Amino acid sequence: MDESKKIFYENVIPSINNKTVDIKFKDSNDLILDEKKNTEINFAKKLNNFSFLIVTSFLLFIIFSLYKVYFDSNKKKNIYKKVTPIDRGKILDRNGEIIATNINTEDLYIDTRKVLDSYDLKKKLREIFPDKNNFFFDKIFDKKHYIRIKQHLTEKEINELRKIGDPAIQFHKSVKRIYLHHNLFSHLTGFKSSTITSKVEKNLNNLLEEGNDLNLSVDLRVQSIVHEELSKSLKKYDANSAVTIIVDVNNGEILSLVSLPDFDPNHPSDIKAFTENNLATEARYEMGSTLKIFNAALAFENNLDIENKNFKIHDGYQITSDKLIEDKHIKKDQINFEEIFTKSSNVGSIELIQEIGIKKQQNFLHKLGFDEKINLHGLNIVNNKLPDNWDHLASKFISYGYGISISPISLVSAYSTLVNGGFKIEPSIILNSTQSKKKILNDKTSNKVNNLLKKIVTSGTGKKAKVNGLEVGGKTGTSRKLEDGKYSEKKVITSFIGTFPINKPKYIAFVLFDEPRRNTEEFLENFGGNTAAPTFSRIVRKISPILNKNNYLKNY
Amino acid sequence: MKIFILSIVVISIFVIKFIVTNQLNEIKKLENEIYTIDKEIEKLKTDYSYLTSPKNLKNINETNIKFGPIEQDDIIKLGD
Repeated sequence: MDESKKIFYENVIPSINNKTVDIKFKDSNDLILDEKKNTEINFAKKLNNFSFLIVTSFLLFIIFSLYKVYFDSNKKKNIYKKVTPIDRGKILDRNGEIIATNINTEDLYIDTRKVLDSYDLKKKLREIFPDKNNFFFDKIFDKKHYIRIKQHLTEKEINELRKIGDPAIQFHKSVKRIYLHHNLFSHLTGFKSSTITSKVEKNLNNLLEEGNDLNLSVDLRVQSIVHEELSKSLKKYDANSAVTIIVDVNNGEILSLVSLPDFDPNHPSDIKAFTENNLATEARYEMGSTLKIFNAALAFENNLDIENKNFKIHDGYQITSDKLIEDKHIKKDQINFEEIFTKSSNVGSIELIQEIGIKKQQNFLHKLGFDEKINLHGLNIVNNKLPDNWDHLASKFISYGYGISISPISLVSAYSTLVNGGFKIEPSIILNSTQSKKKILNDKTSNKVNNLLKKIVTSGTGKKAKVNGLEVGGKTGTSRKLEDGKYSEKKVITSFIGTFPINKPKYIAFVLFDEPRRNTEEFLENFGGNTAAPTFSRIVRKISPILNKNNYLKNY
Repeated sequence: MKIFILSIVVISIFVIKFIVTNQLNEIKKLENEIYTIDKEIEKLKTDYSYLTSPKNLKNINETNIKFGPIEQDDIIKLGD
């Protein structure tokens, strides 16, 4: 056979016809196989990477989806935070007794579309709520709607309503602010309704809303006694209003603050406008003779040698061309320094301030803070009204307590400085919130003032303020009310400010009556000494054992 | 192998997360229970405060016991 016709690799010539021929090769050195293997391996690697990417992406997708579905939905429900709602903080007294708190109640709603028997339901609702008039329920059932009938149902009302069993009756959960002691702390706490807030509830709203409890410096038992005694006296003397403040003279904490008339904060809609003012902080008065003690302190502080001097009072003092100041109640021609205060002499006070001088008087009252606004955190405070032109005339009027209108809390604050060793204090109604105190008077001045206050009670105008078993000191005050530009002959403001125990004063109590009218058999005119002083005595007699038990009076 | 390790890690994370979430739910449930009990205690304290308020005690005293208040001169000092 011709060699050219044999089928060898070199004889194979591609032909143009489409005949295909199977050719077998022998790859004895595995060259083709290696090449193929490499290609396959590369492809497999790429496929592997691609699959890994796909699977990873898929897993990540699943993770993400599951996370979204399971965990994110929980996150929205605030799972990591405390889910319980924040209740408004309570108001407590200094011993932790509750004054104001929130309670859960239920409101009544009626869905008139679901009512079974409107006639029967109306009749039963009228029986449960007799204070609602007949037309009230007729109007409600006239329309098809869902309407609130009453907020804060009582347990009895809820039980009665549940007994009816009509599907139209619906209950909704609600929260009510309650004041456990009704009127007792009304001028401190104020009130909180759904629309209006006042006093502490308003001024310290942010603190309370965050759920913080607020401890006031007042003592429930002391406040209760003061309220009871002051109410009795207000009735007895038929006065327009009355105020009592009891303050710790060393740190300014108010243990009791009562202003009458007052209101029940549980029923804001029934509050009358004239009862809303806290007269202890939001009213100012011409205090009268209680201010005379500042003349004495002024003399002591300036070491003036007038303590042994006598003052003529017999002829009175012609203060203006048409006004003669007289001391008709003192049956003496002249009195000594001490008697100016024990007998409460207006003429003596004028003569004394003339000796001392206007500038010293002005500086002294400025130092005591009469021209500063007291920052009583939580309550509204009125500014004192001092004379625009502090001349000789104004100075003489101020010497016996006229021509200067001050708030009771301001007077108490200034008196605290006089009796506590000369430390200026800021009154406070929040427990343990006292700031650093500044010494502005000498110890000697304070001691002498205390001795004088003691004498006023033991042998002066304040005899009725005596408390058996406890030594007290204080000053009476009576001032005529200004009426149509003239001082009234009959209308007076009577007051007494006292401190106890007098050998080391710890507390000050101030009592004031606005226009006491009723004269008893005992006396024909109303003075601080026969209205406010006996009230002070009754109050201190009852509260001092409580203060003593709490070791407030342990140094006594 | 990589996928296996990754899967194990992912599953472990899931299990841990699941356990933690369940624990948080448990805490939430307990907090709600505590809140409910606290509210109940608050209610009882409020009732107690109201019942023992000076006004109510005075009424109880006047109708049943008839005690008088201790006054300052009732207290005798050791020196007396």
